Amino acid sequence: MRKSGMMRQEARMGYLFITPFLVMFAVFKLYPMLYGFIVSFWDRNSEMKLHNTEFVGFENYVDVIMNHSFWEAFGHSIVFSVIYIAFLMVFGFIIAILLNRSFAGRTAVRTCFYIPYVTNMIAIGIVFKYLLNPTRGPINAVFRLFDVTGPKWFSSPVLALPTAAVVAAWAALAFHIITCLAALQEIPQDVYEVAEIEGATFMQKVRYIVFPYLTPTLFMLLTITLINSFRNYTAIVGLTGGGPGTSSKVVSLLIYDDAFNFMKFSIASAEGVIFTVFIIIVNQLFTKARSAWEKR
Amino acid sequence: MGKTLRRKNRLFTAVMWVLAIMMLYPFVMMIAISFRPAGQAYMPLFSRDIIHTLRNYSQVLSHPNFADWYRNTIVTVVVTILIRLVITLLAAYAFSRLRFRGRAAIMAFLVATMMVPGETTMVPRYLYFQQIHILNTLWSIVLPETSEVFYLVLLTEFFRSIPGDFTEAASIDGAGHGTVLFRIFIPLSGPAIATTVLFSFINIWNNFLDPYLFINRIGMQLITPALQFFQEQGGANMPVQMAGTSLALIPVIVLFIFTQKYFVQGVASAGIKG
Repeated sequence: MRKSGMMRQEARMGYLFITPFLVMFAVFKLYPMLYGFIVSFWDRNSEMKLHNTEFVGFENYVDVIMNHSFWEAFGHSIVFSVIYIAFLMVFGFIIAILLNRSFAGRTAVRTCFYIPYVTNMIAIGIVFKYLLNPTRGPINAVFRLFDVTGPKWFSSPVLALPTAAVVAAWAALAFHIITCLAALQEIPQDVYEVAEIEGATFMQKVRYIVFPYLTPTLFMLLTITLINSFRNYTAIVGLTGGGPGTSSKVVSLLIYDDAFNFMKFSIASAEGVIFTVFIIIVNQLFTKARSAWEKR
Repeated sequence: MGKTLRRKNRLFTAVMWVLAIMMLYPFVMMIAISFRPAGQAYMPLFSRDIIHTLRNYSQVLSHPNFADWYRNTIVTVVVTILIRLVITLLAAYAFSRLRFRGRAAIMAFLVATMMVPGETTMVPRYLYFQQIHILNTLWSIVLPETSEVFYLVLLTEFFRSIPGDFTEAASIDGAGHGTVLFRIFIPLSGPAIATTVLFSFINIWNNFLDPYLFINRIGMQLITPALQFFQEQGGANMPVQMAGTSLALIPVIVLFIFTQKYFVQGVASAGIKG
């Protein structure tokens, strides 16, 4: 009797303690998400209709799906994500393995690898637009040493998007390095010792010890990177602005333009809803694939 | 054998240092160019003809709004961290130590919402914040930031790692949950709170999308979106842009170098718990 009274009291305290967080979350995070869903069924597609609440069914969705520039931006988002994820997964893993070996000044070297992560893509954009300036930048000066004309990087319709993805991934490397380093520390030392006695080469150790031990960490990193790769607005604005032309315009830029330059708020909301659903589906598929792989 | 091994190690160390310098190279260039006159922006790093000048910095610092951007950013950082800590610590205590119906489901729902990027909800957020009249105020940045699920997960996981004996001993002594939280959990959570403060500082300092969307008056702007504005205004003058960028980045980089331990701890724990 007394116990259930205490439990009820505990539950009451529990609800009381989570209330401030949940209220702020509901008002400033959850409601706007749902509101976007509602706006996407209204007609707020010009400056005059900013407060319009007329229900138009799926009209905005049909407009978006029929629109060529939506699919173009969609494709750009996927290209950005694939390059961003691949770069981070590969180099994060390799650099962590390198930084796990002991050498003189390792702590200072690690700090150098972490610094880009605490800066932002607008600042990095300013610096990289200088470094990658096609005619006068120091990177292409290296190409000129060999009498080769360097690539045009952000000014090239073909290269702008991949270059932006690589620079954004470069800036985010620290998260992957630190996470992999933490996981590498968990590998029992005697496993290495056995491998040493067996005469395993460095590559064999990576292949048969490090990789199997790190698989759960790598899957977790892949999940997080997948989601983060869609948070690309700042990177694209900072590096290419979506150009040249629309060659690096991703969905987040399209949403911004449609809403704040063309005043098509409902169309932009529908684009946001479609893209959110896409992210959730990709994530679900990935989770399924991951559990199937783990059970194999 | 020993000799080749030592030589190999020395080569490895050298390669790692070269890689480290390559990582820093963009920031070295940023600082170097910020001291050059406009005409010498594209000269090589170690060119002997370079004249060093402080003109770019005085030009940035004399911008009528520069002090405002710094002040706004610091106010936003401080207010957000204070509110975030209070409401997140309370919730983290409940999620880690108190049993109530729906606890796991609520947490799972909150974590699931982390999948939705702010990019896809910028339009409804703008329209809604306009309706509730917080556009062009720092509240439009602070209020949505206070309930970040990431920090809730971080602190909840940390509280879970505190041994149960602590709480039991305290409740036998008749201490309420408020007392246990403030007298036992918070004092034991120094590292987790330090990580929260540090991450919050870095993230809010570097925040671009939200202030860029919600703040339209230049005097109300924060430092990172102001850099973008500066870039558009400054046009071709590279050294002035670099001076502005240096001034915007140096506080976070310095803070990071001194608090790296907490930063690494935070990333590692966030990563491992996923």
